[in-house]
Amino acid sequence: MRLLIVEDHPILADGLITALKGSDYAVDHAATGEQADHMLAAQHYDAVILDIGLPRLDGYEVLRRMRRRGSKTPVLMLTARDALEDRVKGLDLGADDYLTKPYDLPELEARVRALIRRGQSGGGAELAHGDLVLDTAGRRATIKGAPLELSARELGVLEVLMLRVGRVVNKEQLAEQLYGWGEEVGANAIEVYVHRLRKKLEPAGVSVRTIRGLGYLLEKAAHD
Amino acid sequence: MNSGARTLRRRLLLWVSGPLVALWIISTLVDHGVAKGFVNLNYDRALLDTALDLGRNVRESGNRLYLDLPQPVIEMLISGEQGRFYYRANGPGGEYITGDPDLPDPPADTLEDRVTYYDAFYRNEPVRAVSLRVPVRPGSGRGAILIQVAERATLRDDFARQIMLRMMIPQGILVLLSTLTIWFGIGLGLRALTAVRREIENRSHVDLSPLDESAAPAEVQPLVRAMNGLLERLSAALAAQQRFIADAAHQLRTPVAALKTQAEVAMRQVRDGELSATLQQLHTAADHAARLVQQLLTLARAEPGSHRSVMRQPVEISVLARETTEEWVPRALARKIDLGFDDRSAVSTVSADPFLIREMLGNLIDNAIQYTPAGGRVTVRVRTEHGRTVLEVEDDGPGIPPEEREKVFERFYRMPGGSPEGCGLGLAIVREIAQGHGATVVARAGSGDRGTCMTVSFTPPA
Repeated sequence: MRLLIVEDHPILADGLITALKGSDYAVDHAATGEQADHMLAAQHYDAVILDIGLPRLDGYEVLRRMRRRGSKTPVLMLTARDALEDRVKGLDLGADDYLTKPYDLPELEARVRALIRRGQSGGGAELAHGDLVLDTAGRRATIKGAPLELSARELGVLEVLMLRVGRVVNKEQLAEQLYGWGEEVGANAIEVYVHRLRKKLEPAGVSVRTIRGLGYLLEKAAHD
Repeated sequence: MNSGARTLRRRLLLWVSGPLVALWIISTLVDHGVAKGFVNLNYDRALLDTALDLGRNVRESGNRLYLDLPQPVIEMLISGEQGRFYYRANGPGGEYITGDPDLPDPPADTLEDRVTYYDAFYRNEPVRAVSLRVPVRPGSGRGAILIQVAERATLRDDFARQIMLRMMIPQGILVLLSTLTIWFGIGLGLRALTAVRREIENRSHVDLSPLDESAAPAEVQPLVRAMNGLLERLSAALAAQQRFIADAAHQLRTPVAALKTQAEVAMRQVRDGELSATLQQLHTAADHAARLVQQLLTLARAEPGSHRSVMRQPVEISVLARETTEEWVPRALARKIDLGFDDRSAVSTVSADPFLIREMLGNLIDNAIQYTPAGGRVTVRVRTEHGRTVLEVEDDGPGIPPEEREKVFERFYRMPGGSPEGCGLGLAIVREIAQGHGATVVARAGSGDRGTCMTVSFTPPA
């Protein structure tokens, strides 16, 4: 996996590079918009972390040129501004996600992982969560390599939860996901699927937490 | 209007009624003079008449001159309205004929005049007198008889004073009535100013828009215009200040992000327990700095003059609150706190700035999470109460003593014994944002008199 970090603040860039290299990514760095533009034109990246506030050629322009060239590389925009208009502008120009400085590093890493996965979608991907592994293409789940007996709907619930580890998944999102598998699913039915899934995951030490009035959350594995 | 200050009304009244009173006094003095003149004229004539009557009746018998009138007639002649006249008749040689012998002589320089009026002093009293010279026998060359008639001067003074008083009282009433009329007239005139005052008083502190100049009377319009000029400059100054804070906060975000990232990376690389703890503290401090920067930015946006304060749109509070609560769940779980959401609202659409409402709720949740011990519960609730949308954040933490409940909304206020993590801005921001939206925020005890419940009540849509 090859990432490009476009960030003009040297210490922040250095921190990001070190962190992402530690996660076994190949990381390149560009300190200016022009440099980034050249690198993006010459080399394929799996994801780009792009700061908006760059000297001369700003992040918006880098993104615009990139998309004009037909590049589909996922882009995570970083910004010191959080006004709604700026966010909308970035997403309109074709950014895939958006983070406001200062962010939490694990959050940034999770977003990058999600972006890369999205960039590879169609090919299918493996989602891992501690000992639990979900093969989204083969529709199979395993714990420590041992297959887990899950119905199609339980698998659907698990996929949504694993895609949003550590974040709340509400019942509407689950219903939406399951809708693709057949008839409309009521809130009560979702509770039943989650209940069954929870029981099957318990032996692996994976817990699905109920968040009062909001939905469910797949807790981060203890050693993750 | 402050009664101690020199009010416009009092000043105007003084300027108008002062001269009026002075005029009244002058007019009274003039009246007195005029009255005295007329009184003298009449009384003098009465004296002269008496003198003439007496003079006409002086007879000569041989060499002796005498007054040929019976005593009752004399009495009648010399009786004035208030007491008797004094009189005396002297012969050409100055010899006494009749009357009050000790009556003072007329002034020496008037010896040749036929009729002379003069003031004198008699029997310890001021008197007014007339002297009349009547020839003993016309054309005889035998000289003239001197007739003097005098009267107590106090009589006429009293009379003149009475006339003066009778003129003075109605004039005084006139002055008093004018003063009252002016007092109320000025009050009525100033009512236009009261309207301007009300408009200023009823404003929220975020409203720096100009006052309506056309509603003020012409005399007050320059004042309103000057006030509007001041409001405009104030607005510009505030906007500049807020731009500065916003810019500064933006500028701070990148270095803080760098600090956080580096601290996080270092923590991953270091296995040394002691160093790791230090790095953990560094990371926590960076987190606080990040939060403070965010809060400063929010405060700058929520304050008057900020372009943000007008970015209103219909916001479904229940949806916004739900999304915001979801965002905070991971942080709550990290602190072992059960953060939940409870939607009991009917309709919760409010005209609001969604960014600021999100920040407001975020601050309330952050605050609740920080002050609630691990294992506690925090609930975000949206409900409808008498048509108002109410947003609540309730916790089962230690609660806030009643006497502290107002103070917690002050900037940089920290509760005694509170968590050292907060910077004391969170709740100040909450109140700033609530007020900017015409909403109220109060801290009270949670259900069962435990913990704290922060309640934001929005005004129902007009």
